[in-house]
Amino acid sequence: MIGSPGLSPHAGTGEWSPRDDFDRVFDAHFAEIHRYIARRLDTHAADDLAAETFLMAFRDRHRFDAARGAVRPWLYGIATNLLARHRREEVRRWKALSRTGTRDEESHEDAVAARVTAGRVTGRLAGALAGLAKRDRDVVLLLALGGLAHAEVAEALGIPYGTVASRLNRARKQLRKALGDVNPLEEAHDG
Amino acid sequence: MDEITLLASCLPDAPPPAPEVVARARARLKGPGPRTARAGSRRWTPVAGLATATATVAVAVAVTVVVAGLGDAAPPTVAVPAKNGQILLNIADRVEKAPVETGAYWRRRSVIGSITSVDAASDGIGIRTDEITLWAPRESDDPVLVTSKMLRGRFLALPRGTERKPWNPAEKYDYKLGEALNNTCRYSWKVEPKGVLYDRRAADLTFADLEALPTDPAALLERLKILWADQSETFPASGSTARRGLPRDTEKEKYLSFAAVSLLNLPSPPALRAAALRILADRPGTEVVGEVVDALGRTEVAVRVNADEPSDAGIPAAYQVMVDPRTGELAGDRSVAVTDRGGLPRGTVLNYTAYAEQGWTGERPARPRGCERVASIP
Repeated sequence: MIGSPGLSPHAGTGEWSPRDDFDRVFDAHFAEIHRYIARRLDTHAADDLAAETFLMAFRDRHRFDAARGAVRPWLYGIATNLLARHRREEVRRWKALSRTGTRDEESHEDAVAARVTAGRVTGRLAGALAGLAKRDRDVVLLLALGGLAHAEVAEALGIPYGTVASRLNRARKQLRKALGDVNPLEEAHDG
Repeated sequence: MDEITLLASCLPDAPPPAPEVVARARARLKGPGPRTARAGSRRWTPVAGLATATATVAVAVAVTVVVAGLGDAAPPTVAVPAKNGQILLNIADRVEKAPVETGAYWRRRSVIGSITSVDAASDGIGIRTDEITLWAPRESDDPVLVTSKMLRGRFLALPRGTERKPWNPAEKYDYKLGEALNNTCRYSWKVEPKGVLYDRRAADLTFADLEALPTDPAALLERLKILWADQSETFPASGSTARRGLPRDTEKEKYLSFAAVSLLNLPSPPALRAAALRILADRPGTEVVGEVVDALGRTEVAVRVNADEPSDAGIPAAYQVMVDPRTGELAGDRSVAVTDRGGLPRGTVLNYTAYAEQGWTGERPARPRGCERVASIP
């Protein structure tokens, strides 16, 4: 075992503290951190960077301060910092996705269904993401892909809550502009 | 739905990490381990006893990635031959010195997506996803195993009597989505005469042939031209070609393009792969589409081959091969609609094959249980 077994989740958050039992932190969060990175880069990069995220977290586990935030934002913050080294690859991915415009995800059926019903929204969104400043993209993707709350994004990035709001506001304007006349925000999924 | 929710639902999702990835990440917490070792999830487990100096390194991928050197590709509609070719040449430069690997079997797991019956007469769009696993033996008297499983099958039904119109983002289609077919599993198990390998677009090649082919691009091209001459004498003007009345030079160019693709599709040694990439880069019909995200969420280099190929199942389509920028191997191929038709917009991937994993292994195949044995699987 990496940590000490048999300890309780951290009081107040219901999460396992990295100080106490890193095994449980790993079990609880590795897959979601991997998924977050894979959706921003690709699964191969995620294999490395997710492992690197947890290695860094493990080495810094004694500096984790539960009073300053929960485990998830802490891990997402580390992962996002590691992603910064791959900014060019990420932008290339979004550009590539904007060219193909395909929602090639878990199945071809879903991809085709999405194309014939929801149109080219994915491509437009990907193109817009490529054009965002990295700091704005981090905020948007921590919310969208990480599922963090605004306050947790502030914790993850170590920035004030108000800064999260202003970055988000700026990014949303660009996303809306990119979506243009398709207006997918009002388009229902058929079928 | 706001922009954040839309992003969450529209951006490609990712599969969960493979158990070995999780295990490897966990192991890194327990010991010092190599910090920069790259996880090789697209390779099978490395083969014991590889003839390389790096065999002691417990990672599956032998080629370092220098993706940053690729640069942004040109848009699909703009063909810039010099720049396009350069991307393939850069990959060739990287892979030609890669270590030579071998094993008892070359094993490949492919995910295949296909669309059927997209035309004015059909009631909708049939879409299915299959998984095919191939075991190609190093020794010619060992059996070849091909297993095919249908993973998913769906039918997108259009309302009857609706006149087909070009797809319009503003228009709402009343597709009905449902499961269409039961899962099936089939396999073939046979010893291939003389050990001829699975891709015969260049010639009937064995592993020994691959190792004997020249790795100098000019010499390889000359060898391919000789193979072409032999084939065209043996099989003068094959059916479809004769019907379409293609000039012999066009036919020859088509052969050379697909022969190069075939060598990339086979388990060619790195130096031969590099030569094939250089030949492909130089073919007049080759257009590098650029980096694309494939069906498995990976970034690959899409290359349109012999760009005058007109269609796929009656739909005007471009045939593209996906080149893995890390290894120069083929990572799959696909057909992309070049016009809007039957409710499918231009750019839709009509059919694809994605090689989820491939590599040499010391393991041997076992006949799958619960699958029907057939003579061959296409």
